Amino acid sequence: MQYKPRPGIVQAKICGLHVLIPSRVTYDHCKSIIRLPSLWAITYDLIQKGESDETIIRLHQVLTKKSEDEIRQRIERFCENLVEQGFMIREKDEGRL
Amino acid sequence: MNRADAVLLSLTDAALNKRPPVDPELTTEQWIALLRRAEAQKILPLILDASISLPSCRSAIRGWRQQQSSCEAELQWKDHALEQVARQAVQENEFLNLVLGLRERGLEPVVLKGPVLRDLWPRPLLRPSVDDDVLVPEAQIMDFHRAFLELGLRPDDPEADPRQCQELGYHKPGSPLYVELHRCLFDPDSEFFAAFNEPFAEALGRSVPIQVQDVRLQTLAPTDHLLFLILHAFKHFLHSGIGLRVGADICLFARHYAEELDLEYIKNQCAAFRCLRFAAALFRVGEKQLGIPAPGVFAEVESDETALLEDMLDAGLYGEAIDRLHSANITLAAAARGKGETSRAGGLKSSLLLPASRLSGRYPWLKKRPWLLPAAWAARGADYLLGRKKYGRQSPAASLRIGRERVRLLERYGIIDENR
Repeated sequence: MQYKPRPGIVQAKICGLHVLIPSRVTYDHCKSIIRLPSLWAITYDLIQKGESDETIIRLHQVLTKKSEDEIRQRIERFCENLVEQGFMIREKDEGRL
Repeated sequence: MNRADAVLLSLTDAALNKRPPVDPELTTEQWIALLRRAEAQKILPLILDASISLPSCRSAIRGWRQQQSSCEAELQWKDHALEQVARQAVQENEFLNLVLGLRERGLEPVVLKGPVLRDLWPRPLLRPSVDDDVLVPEAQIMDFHRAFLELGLRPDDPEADPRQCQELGYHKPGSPLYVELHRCLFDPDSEFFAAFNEPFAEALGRSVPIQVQDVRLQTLAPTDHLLFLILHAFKHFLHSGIGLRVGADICLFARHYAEELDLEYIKNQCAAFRCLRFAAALFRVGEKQLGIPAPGVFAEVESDETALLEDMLDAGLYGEAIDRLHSANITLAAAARGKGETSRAGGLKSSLLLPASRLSGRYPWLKKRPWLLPAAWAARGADYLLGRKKYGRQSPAASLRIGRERVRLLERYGIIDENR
């Protein structure tokens, strides 16, 4: 996976809702917590644990019945969205944090 | 105690002690009453987080959604709780950055309550705080004031003189950060509460470091902090009451720092300020209702906690129900009349009606318009009792009834003498 969670972001489940929480060290990049739908919370968790793309895509296929290509695009959009909001980084950019 | 309150206590116990809660199988109406009570007690995130997995709670929230005829009603409680958690997360990060900014300027505040207490909860972000409090040396008050301004904070009252105020509030525009800057822990202009400052005369010199996230904070030493928490709670109890969260904070603190506390000293100070039975009752509430054992020296003190528990359940965080706030004058006046010679607290009546010379620092317009002194008394009373909130109409009869009941409470805990 070419994306990874930004160090210092805390993933938690609060009041039944999946959230990402910025700590002080990430505060310059993301100012508030965000909610994630269940499937994408699991996806984020798998990325954080370093699971392979194939494992993540297989999970989506089982739960959504979508094609591999569509799932890849959705995952990339999800990650890019989190990069824009400061919760994830592109691995190629890691040295420039 | 009604069923919803009993379950609220049980859920609080389970959440604070990291135990899975037992489904109480409440009805929809009982669950909604419980969640509203939790909101009033400022522990909604804690309670909802503990109970949302329970089938009867989920069913009740869905049932309430149907009653409300709103497809979004189910999320309302969750959203409301999450909003508080989100606000707390941002507030904490902003506060830690503020401390670092102060440190860059050679200033080291001593942090009170909030961040220290939150760290004792199993899930710290589920304990929201309205504000953050810092205690600073009196000689540095203006240095901190200027640093706050440089760091983007603004005083609530730009005309107030920080050197004259016991505490001054600062907000940061566009942020939930709200900091109260204290030059002493209790109002030095109050003959009743000024004496509460005596045990803390050297407290700044005894401060200790703690770690919150990646930032070291200075805070009161454990014995000083617990004594402060008890006296602070006592002050609010005298005015209009305290809620479960305050009780939980004190009990959790005593448990966490048990090995470092000089409990005999704290007990003796409580006795001197006539709040020993109040403190003992508070710890007994913690033991019987929240599963947090009372410290031995307080467990030995005879005190029936049932009346205090009822008062806490009714009070909210700091007794903020409008009728309680307006009953505060009754309890404070009773405490003033009932002050025994063995109490170190001063006269309360005179503490309520200060002369213009002692109020002009806080209300500069008094210097030019001393005939507005009654308005300053009213503003000071409103500032203290109401904080920054706005309230609607109150019931004078309810205020009188509450006041009389609370005076009986003061008698029961030996704060004032019975049959005076």
